[in-house]
Amino acid sequence: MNKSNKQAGAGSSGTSRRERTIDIVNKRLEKRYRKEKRFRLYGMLSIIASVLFLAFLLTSIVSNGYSAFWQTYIKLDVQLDPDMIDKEDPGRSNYQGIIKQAIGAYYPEVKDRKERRELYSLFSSGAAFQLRDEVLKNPAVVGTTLSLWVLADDDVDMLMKGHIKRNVPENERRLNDKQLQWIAKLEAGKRIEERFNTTFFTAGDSREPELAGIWGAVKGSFYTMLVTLALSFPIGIAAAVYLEEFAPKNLATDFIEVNINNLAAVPSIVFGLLGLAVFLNFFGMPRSTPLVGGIVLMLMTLPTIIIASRAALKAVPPSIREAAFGVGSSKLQVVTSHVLPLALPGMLTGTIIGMAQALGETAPLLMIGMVAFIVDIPGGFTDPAAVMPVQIYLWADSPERAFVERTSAAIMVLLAFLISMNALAVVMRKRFERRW
Amino acid sequence: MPNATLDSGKKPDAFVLTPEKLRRQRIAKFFGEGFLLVVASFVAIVVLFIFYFVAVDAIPFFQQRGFTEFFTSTSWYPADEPGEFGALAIIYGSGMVTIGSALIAVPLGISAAICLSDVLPFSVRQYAKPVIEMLAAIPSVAYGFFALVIFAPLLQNYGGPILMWAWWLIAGPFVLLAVIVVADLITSGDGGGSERKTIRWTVTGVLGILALVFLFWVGNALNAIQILSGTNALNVSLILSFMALPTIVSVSEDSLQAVGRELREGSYALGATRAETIVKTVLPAASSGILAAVILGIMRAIGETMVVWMASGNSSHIPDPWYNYLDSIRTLTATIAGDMGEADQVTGSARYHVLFAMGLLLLVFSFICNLVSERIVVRQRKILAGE
Repeated sequence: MNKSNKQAGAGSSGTSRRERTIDIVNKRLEKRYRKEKRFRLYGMLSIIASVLFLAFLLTSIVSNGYSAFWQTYIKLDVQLDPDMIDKEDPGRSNYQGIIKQAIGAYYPEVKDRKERRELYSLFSSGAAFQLRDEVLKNPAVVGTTLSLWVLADDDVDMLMKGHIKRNVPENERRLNDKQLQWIAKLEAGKRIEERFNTTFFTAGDSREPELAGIWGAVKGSFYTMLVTLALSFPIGIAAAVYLEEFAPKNLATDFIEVNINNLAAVPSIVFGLLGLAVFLNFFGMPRSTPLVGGIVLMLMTLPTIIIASRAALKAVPPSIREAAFGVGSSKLQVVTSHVLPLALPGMLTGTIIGMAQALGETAPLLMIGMVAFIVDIPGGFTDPAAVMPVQIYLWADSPERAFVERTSAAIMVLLAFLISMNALAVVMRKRFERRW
Repeated sequence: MPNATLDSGKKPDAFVLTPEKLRRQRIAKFFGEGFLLVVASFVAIVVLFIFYFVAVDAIPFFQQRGFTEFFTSTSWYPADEPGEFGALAIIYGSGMVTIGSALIAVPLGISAAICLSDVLPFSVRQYAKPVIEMLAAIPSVAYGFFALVIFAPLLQNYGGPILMWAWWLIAGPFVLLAVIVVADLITSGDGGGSERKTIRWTVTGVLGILALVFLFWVGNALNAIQILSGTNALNVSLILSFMALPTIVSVSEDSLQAVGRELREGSYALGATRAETIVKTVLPAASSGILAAVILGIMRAIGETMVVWMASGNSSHIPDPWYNYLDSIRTLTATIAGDMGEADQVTGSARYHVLFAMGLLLLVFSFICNLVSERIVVRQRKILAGE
């Protein structure tokens, strides 16, 4: 104030006192507005920073992963010599040998043993299984020449997708010059092409990237979520109903409430420790199974479901309850036939969000042995299984470039699930939100 | 005739509460409520259960090895015979990433919350909020993959330039602001009209040049830094800060909203601008809720496993010098996740129990944090309710 008075006094001595005050105010106002603008800018910058981070994260995952939905196939003319097929049990014939013969027939110039091995490595080891399935499906093909599109090895796949550069020195490449020539021959004969990668969606885990798929993990996740849902939905809703509608105000109720928040605060890895110490080592439940995983995740999702359900119950206005009491309903009737149906959409929203959290959780499942390498597709709750996030973790650790691509693709699939679950929750909330 | 329609299909006493009906209702109420009580207390029991079972497996470790080694030694060789179980470096690593992520997430989260609650118009807010909430929907393993496969190589190859740009973006505006404020302060003492303006401009200019030199100097020093490994504390802190962001934003925003219109309108009525209202009225009123948000965000960072396990480098030593965020570290959660695979084969050994000791440490810490933040929120609610 002192400073501004001096300044104003020196600037204009002849004007009246009232105008001077206005001058001061206006001058300061300009500064204050500038400050205001800067302030808004900081807020905007922080939001823009988080949006940019999200955009960067999503685009890098998509740009790394979209190519995994295509897979390179090579066309082979396989001569199915009846002598090479086992008469009794066609499934046990040496299909690997037949495939090798077919490859050799296309490249008659390759004679050297070492070179042949390099040649065979261009084709996936899954080619033999493909041929076997073909023969078992249609035994009539035996004795004819079958033109079959077989899976290419992941290195070939990476080359076709441009992740292995052709122009770098030979020793820095995973494919040598000769192998490139052989591939060039395939390309010239139009025998190599990229197709939609069905293996990725139908197969279980594998050490070979071109044979690895997410179906096993998807099914594992499905069973685990089923266990989680079956346990946490009734327990969560019953607990919420009790706390909102029945609980007397006393120390025991306070204790329960505090502990629900404490449960929400437990670090996820500790749930894994619990699962290991109690369910596996104490109760001796089977390791790596959706059953144990589901129970552990149930404990994690409970607080989310309870808190959301309580909010939904709170939103039901007292007038509904009073009206029901007014016509002579008992407390239980009021809750079961009036309050619960009105609060159900909110409870379901909370459950969906809790399930989405559980679906993305990894750490506790590592502790109960769900990291094991499991090729078979799980068929039930007590079969060893992997879940989606754990599968992603396992692949992220693999050195092959082709696994980077598949990891990103698996993340995309998982994110699609999670985002659609969250979107469903948002839509439900909007749709069933009632104003009383 | 009306009688007939009313009673059709129902027993005559459908609307009469007979004593027998009342008894049935009482029994149903008793069992229903009892069942609900059992289920609700199940949740509370689970927490005690977790505490009990983790502690039961943690205590043998402390009985065998005592407390001193665990908390003061930095040599972590659990697989040796006999093993060494010094967890100081691991606890330090956990603290380091937690503080690092809080340093990034807290200013970012609070300013984003203010922006969402008070600055942005509803039309923009509608879209900005779900985007920030989406950060919470992304699974931690996806963040881990991002940190390991995309961000770590980036940091390793272009670490210097990235640090320099970050320095310019973060420190640049702050230094500019400081120059303006300092120049104002220096020149505010003297009187004089037109000279004062020139003096002010020259002081601002000189200070500005000095500040630019300083910015350049530090920027170049950062640019010259070679990051040996991209899997380090900085990488993890950055990713964790974005994971903690949604928690901090949503809890602080709730607390800002809880301040209510009266205080804001009172401040506007006195002629304050929006920035002044927020900084001098709303923020102090919401400060305890924001503190709770910060604590919850920190808990999220300390309990996170996958990102640190995948991208922190997992070497259990205290970085040299102690504030070196470009060194790789190891945290409590990552140690539990990483070592349990082998330790589980030797159930009952110190190697197995030490991991439970770490779990107990995490558990105790998160309970304390949670209780503190809850106390704070309850107190704020009471104060705002005018008690």
